[in-house]
Amino acid sequence: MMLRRSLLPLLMAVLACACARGTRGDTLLFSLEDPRGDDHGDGELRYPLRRDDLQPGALDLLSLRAYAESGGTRFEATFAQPIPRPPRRTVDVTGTTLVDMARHGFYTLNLDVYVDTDRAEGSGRMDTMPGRNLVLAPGSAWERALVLTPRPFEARELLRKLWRERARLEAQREQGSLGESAVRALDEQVERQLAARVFFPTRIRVVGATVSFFVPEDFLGGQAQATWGYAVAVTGASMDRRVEMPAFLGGLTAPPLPGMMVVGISPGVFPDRFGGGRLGDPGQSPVVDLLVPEGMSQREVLGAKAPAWPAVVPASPALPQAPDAGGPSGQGDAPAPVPPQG
Amino acid sequence: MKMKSMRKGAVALTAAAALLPAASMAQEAPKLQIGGTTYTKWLYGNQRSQGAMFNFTTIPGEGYGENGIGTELELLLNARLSSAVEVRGRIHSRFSQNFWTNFGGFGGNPNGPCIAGDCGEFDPRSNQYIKLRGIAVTLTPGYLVDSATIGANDFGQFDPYVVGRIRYIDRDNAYGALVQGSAFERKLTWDAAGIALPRLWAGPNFTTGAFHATDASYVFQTKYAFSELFDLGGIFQYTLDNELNKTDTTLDNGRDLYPRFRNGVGGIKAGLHLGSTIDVRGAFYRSYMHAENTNYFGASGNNNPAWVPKSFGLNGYSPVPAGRKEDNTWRFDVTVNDPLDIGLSLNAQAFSIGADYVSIMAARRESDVLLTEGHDAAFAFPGPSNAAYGVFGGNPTRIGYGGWTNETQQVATINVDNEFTDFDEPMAETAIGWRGLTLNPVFTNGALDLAGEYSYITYNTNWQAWGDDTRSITDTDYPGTELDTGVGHNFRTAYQPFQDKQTHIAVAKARYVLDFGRGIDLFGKFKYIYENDKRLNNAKYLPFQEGDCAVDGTGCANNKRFYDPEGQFSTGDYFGNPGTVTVDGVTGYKWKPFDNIADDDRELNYTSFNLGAGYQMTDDLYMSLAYTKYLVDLQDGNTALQGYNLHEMVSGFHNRNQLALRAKYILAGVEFGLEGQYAFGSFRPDFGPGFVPQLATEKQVSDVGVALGSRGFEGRYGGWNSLETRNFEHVRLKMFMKAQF
Repeated sequence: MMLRRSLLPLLMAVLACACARGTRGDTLLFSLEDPRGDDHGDGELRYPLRRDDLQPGALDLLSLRAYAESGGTRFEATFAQPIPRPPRRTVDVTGTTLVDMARHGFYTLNLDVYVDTDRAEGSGRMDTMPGRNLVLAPGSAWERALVLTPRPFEARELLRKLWRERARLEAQREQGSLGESAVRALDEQVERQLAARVFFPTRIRVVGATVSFFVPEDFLGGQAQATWGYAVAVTGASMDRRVEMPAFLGGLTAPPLPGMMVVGISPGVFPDRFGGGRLGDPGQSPVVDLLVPEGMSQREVLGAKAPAWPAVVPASPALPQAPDAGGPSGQGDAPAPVPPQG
Repeated sequence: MKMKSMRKGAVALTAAAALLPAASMAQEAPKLQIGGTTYTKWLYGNQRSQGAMFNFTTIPGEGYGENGIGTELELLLNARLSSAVEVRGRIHSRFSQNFWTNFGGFGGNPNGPCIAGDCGEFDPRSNQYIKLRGIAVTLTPGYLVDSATIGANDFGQFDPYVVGRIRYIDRDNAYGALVQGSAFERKLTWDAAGIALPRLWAGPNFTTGAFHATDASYVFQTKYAFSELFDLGGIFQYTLDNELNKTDTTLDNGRDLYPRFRNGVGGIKAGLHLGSTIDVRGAFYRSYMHAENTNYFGASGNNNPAWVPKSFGLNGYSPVPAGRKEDNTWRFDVTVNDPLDIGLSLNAQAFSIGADYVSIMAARRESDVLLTEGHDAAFAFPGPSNAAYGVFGGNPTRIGYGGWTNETQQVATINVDNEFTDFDEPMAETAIGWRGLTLNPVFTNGALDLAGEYSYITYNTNWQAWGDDTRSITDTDYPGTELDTGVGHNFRTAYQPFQDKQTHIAVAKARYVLDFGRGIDLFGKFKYIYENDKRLNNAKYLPFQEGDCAVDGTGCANNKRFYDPEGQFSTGDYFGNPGTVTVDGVTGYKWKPFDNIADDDRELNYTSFNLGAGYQMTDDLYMSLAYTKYLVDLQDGNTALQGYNLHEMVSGFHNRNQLALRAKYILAGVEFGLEGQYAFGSFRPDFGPGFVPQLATEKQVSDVGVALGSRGFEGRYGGWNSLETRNFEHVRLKMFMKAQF
């Protein structure tokens, strides 16, 4: 009896919510498709050795869709395999569990979306998030970046730190030593850039192979437009968060390349990073899967010569659209989906 | 949807390699990289224990405590000799008993018990010692094999039912050689390892005997992916613990060996993956173990490390049963991921873990082999406040009234390890003998997550007289390990002499992110457990003849009842009759005579509610506050069973409350954490009729801290169970600072 009493309300609540839910009811703003089976970086990348939660297909992006939602845009990324939920397993010295660390329901992937809102040559930033090691084409320079990552607040703090360090180094190179007020001004500039340009979603939902996240109008200046350019990249997520080693061991150690919560790549195969990396290419991108426009391949962008990475414009007739995708308003006919080159 | 350090080892292997956290590994540039972690922990608790810088241990001679501040440092070394060779290791200081109050660890008494830092510089646990850990060389030649790792490893790449995470303080204490390869474009993968058998615990009686240097476990697993839809795999493990052959006295031609303990496990696994929607997985294992049981290595363990217990008394301790055992284990999982595209998924699991299933290298913790969330870790040891043997003096609770936080993890071994943990860490419980079904619907809609569970569990250990009428109940192959009494499930108890038990677990959880500011996390949980255990369910096992004790309480004739045809064995050898006592002019039995099969019955009605909220106050600070209420109505035998004569009785009503505050803060890259808990509540005993309550004497006041003259009864072994309502209050705090560099 007691069991019945306890389970019945749960069942009713689920059914009530299920009936009220309307995934399909939202207006599709645009859809970008990506071929299945291209989660191999430059073609040689191999998943970490024997990681049950990170097997081929896990980071294989199949589609990125944008839906109009009250107050903003809901992006929905679908992968080839179900997204693993963080298990309740101790992962660090403090006794913290993975489920506590990755509070948003996923822990294996980062999804970067660089949005070129003005599509003007040279306007915006061409760099990518630290550790992605990619450069966007001048015509795809981004004004806004969406970074879906398991620890958004920690990532934001880390990005702040890395951007500050970079800004200070550049200023020192140009100006020599920096006074306190100059440092403060640089930090404020970084803070403004961070606030205006990069958004780390926190309203996240993971169901099966799909992760969706909400981006408010305030950040994008409205809902996402199909006429904008989108450069989308998937990386493996690292839960580690390190501070830089003091210089007192400088002669002995090399400073690590600054990465933002991203699993690295190297030659060989290892359980803790991607394998199949190129020998003699310390700057190789660890991006596993990305979207490229027609006429260009993922292998090229992630290859040794690594040409600048152009964004994809959903409204472009030459670009892939889902059958039910429309223009910015979600209306109108769309061309048949043609997957970009992987 | 459940897919389910001292503790630096928590990230040992990965962290050592994560010295290369950046995107790509600059294979030519750094020859050697050094990273590290510093970790400072502050424990505070009103139990005022201060044995060590962790909350819990069961190991004799080790301290435990909930007060003190200590600091650890770990240096992670990683050298890339070439693109195909990598060396890693750690140099690690330890908390143990290195309190700040040690003032560097000078002085001390070398002849003391060496807890609470009292031995100062004379004991490594209190003199800020540094240990070498996690040394491993990894070869990736690019041909023949994918990878070969020689040295330390956590061996978590195998299967928790067979060879799993075997952490003992550090995760990578185990050493061995691991070779991994693949063929047919990686459709076929294989892993083979030889693992040095941990002498500390990996054999009967928690030892591998006197001759340990060649003891090892060998494991091989393979998997073939026929297509994206179907894969098939197998795993085989063999463990051999040898000793010197006592009959080989001719030393000129070397020494022969003689097996002390052997253990083999074979398993097959299959997976059917129907797109991203339906996933079906199954596994079947068969185990064999043989612990030498002819007294070949002697009949006593006194000064004889090779000794193997031939049997256990009613309450023995060992990570494996005695004798020779074979048994099966299987599980079948189905996951249906949002088939209706409405956010509703379902996980289901059917499982059976054999009573005699043994894999000495199975995961001891940090794994969860079952879908069910099992019991709550708040009640994980006997007694109302988690105090084993609490009826006797000198056995206070260790983890405390608050227990551990959250639910438990299940492991397929009785070799469970919760040593050196703090209250906020996950706790593992044995699932040996469990058989049942779990359904776990999960629903997600926007900011709302709902999850439910219903589990029905019965037990392969439902038996009478350990399943063998031909032996005394104090002569068994099964280590009782405290035996199963208490509010919850004793985390390392799989066996008790009489069991007829079923468990129902129902859980409903909800989480909602309120769209306010950075989003307020609202979460709640309801959990209900109904458990029924008839234990001794056949009158032939009752200790004494019917009518042995006079109903007017004037005495017993002590005519035993024998359960075997030869008339040798009686439970009366353990459950002796009471004497009589006169209190305030009333004469009767000291405890109820065990004359009814219902005297040891267990019926648990367990309800818990949890409600809380969390908020990201700033980019750097996250805080949450949660309240949990536990209401437990429990009958766990009356004074005839008296907690198997060993433990505080828990029959009665438990009303427990817990308030928990958590915070995480990052300052300049350094992580700070806090968990503070206030647990309070009461236990109102109801031990049933049939005896005359006694009044506590000075001895009981001294032994177990009850009030002089308070009501209770003295048990068969002289332990005292109070009949007065007990009120508990447990305040504890853990704060830490962690910096990785």
